Amino acid sequence: MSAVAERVSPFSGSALDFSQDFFSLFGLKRQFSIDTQALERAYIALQKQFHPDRFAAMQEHERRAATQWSIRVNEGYRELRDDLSRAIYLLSLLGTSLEENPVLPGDFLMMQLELREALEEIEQSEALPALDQFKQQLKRNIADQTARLSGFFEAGQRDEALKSVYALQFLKKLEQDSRRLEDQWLDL
Amino acid sequence: MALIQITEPGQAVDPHQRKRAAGIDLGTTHSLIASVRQGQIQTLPDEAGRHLLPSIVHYGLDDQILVGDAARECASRDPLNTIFSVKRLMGRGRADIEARGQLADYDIPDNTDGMVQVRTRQGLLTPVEISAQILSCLGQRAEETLGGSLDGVVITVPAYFDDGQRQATRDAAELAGLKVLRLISEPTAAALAYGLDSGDEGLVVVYDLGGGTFDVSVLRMRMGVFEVLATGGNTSLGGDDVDLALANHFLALTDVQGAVSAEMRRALLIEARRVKESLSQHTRVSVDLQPQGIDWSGEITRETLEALTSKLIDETIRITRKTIRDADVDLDDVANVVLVGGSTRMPMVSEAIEKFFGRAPLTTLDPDRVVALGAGLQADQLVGNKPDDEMLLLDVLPLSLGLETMGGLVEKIISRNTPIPVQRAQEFTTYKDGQTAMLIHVMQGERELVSDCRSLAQFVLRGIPPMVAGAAKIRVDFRVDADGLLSVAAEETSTGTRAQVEVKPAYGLSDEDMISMLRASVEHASSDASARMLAEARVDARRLIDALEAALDEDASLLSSEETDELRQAVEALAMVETRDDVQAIKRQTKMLSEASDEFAARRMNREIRKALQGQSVDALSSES
Repeated sequence: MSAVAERVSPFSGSALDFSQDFFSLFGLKRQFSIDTQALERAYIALQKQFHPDRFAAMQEHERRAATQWSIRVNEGYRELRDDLSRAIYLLSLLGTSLEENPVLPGDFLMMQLELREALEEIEQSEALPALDQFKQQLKRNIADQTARLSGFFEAGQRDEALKSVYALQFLKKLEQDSRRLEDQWLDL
Repeated sequence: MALIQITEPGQAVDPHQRKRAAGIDLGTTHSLIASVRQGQIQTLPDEAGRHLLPSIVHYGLDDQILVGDAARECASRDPLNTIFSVKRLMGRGRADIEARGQLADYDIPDNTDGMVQVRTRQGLLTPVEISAQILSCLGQRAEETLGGSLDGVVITVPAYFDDGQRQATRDAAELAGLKVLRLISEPTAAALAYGLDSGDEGLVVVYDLGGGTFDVSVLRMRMGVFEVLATGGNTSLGGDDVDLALANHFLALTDVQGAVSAEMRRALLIEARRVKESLSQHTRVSVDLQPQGIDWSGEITRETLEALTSKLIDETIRITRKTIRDADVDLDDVANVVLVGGSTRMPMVSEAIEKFFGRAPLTTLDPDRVVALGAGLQADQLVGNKPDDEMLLLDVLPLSLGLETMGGLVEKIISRNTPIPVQRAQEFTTYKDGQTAMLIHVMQGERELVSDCRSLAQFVLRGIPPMVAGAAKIRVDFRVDADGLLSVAAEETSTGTRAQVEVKPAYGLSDEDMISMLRASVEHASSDASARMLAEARVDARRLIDALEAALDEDASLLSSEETDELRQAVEALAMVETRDDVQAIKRQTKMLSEASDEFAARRMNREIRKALQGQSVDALSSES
């Protein structure tokens, strides 16, 4: 039983059985590498069955229960679809939670610093091609890190997986920042 | 057009069992109602054959209320008691109206906080009450046409409507005595009307420029599900702005001195609208402002209008570009573009769209009616007339929800374009020893400062057990339902104490407001209305009793014998009350029974889910190859 699965909402106080984890909710094996097509299909199939609209002509209490289920399906879909959140969720199922201020290896901190500085320079130069290039580089870094993470999970190296998650967190944050900068430049 | 043919042979619902459902497009400038009749979706006309009901309400002498064309005739004569474009006031405060420069249109007292109120000769009225007049006028039209009371309606709202505006729309429907099956967004309704939900898998962009609002949505169709991927817009941008720009242009051309009276202002706006519409067909239109009391006549060309409109259109294209980016899709992957809203009749709009997308938009359905048609189809399905139709709409939260934190900043709890329904929790703690209450301010919007977002509600959490600072853990749950409406619950988790939540919507109506309005509307209405409320309450009560009795007979094994006894007693209690003429008591008891049966419903649902999951894993595997 995971911390996430045990969460009971103060809304209903009802007895909806949320004990199964998201992997089993979507009929997937509990592992980092998932069949994304199968996830998509299961998501659609579950919503088709339990979305409150399916109960629109029925009783209020049935709609409430359906809404709770639909919320859970949406939550699970969001957690599993994204590599980073899926990794964090899987770690929590395995009993490993993220630290708020983790001690990170020196070379990783150096890399963080360099990438941050690179983005700041681009921001000052206001050069769109440089930003494009930076984003491409970031994309490759994220793909590499995700592949490493997948390897650690397969090998059962939980501590290494956790470090990899911290690295991925940083890279994704940087990706968001560069996207925001692009939005600004494109007046979006 | 596949959807227009809604009943296929062999799966038609027995006409005697067909429920009466309708879709309502509650628009800024006009409103419509549509329903499926003889397997065809159609908008319903009034006795004079008019489908569009102008969204105008006139409050006359002797409590007379006129809606639609009749109200419009009073506009110039009695502008302060003739309310146009009330949709723009929904869920809005006085400051919003002031910022739009619309205060001059009506008598809006400045001592009202919360939702704006309009002073008419029939008293101070909220936009909710005014909108309810439009809704009940349409509801009556449908009931006369369909030959009986409506079982349910779907009402459309701009995709970009915030929580306050959605809640206000729902409240207006309740006041009008309509049962709302669902609020759906206007762009989604339009896509449904075009039957794009039943076509090939692909992306659809809906561009909706109405009288008062602009909306754009990116939708994806796959496996029989219509998913909204991203939505954007501006709730204060539309054809009315063009009218205003043109009316100001008239004033600039003439040399009117001093203040412009409300009557003249209104007359100029009406003339501007006529000229605008005419310029969609003609390249030049002659104008004579004599009837408006201005000594000026001349010609307005389409180029002039285009110059006045270009900024507005550029802004809509910018929002469209951003929404496509938010959806994380490529412009090239867009399979269809749908135009909605009367303002898209302006040639410059469709030209701009075609240029941007590199393809001609779909325009075969009347842009004024397409939203109502889609809503009508959805209502027909939700009410249960198409049991075999698997089509499902998955919507998203249009604007981020957040909380005020120290320093006037907003911390986002649920970001926009998150699929709904959704629920997120946030934990808070006390900052003083012995603190027993806490104020929480819920905001909606994308900006970082509280002052730039909309205030949705303030909650006071009371009854926190006194502890040292930082020891109490208060968990606040935010839930957005399928209609996009927010509710909040809170709990002190270290001791399990439920904190009470007092909800005071910033621009909405409190429960007490609603109750007193409902009471007032019942008192004013004829005895028909109260008889109808009683009948409806009884039907609801009966339905619940029947459903529960059947479920108890079937699944008593899911309950302990005490639980079964308790439920059976509650059922009997409702059956007793149901025979009396007390609407409030019936409603109260129905609600109590409904809540008492929550647990039972949940257990039944759990069992169904388990069954379904077993079946579904097999399906997922077998369809994989």
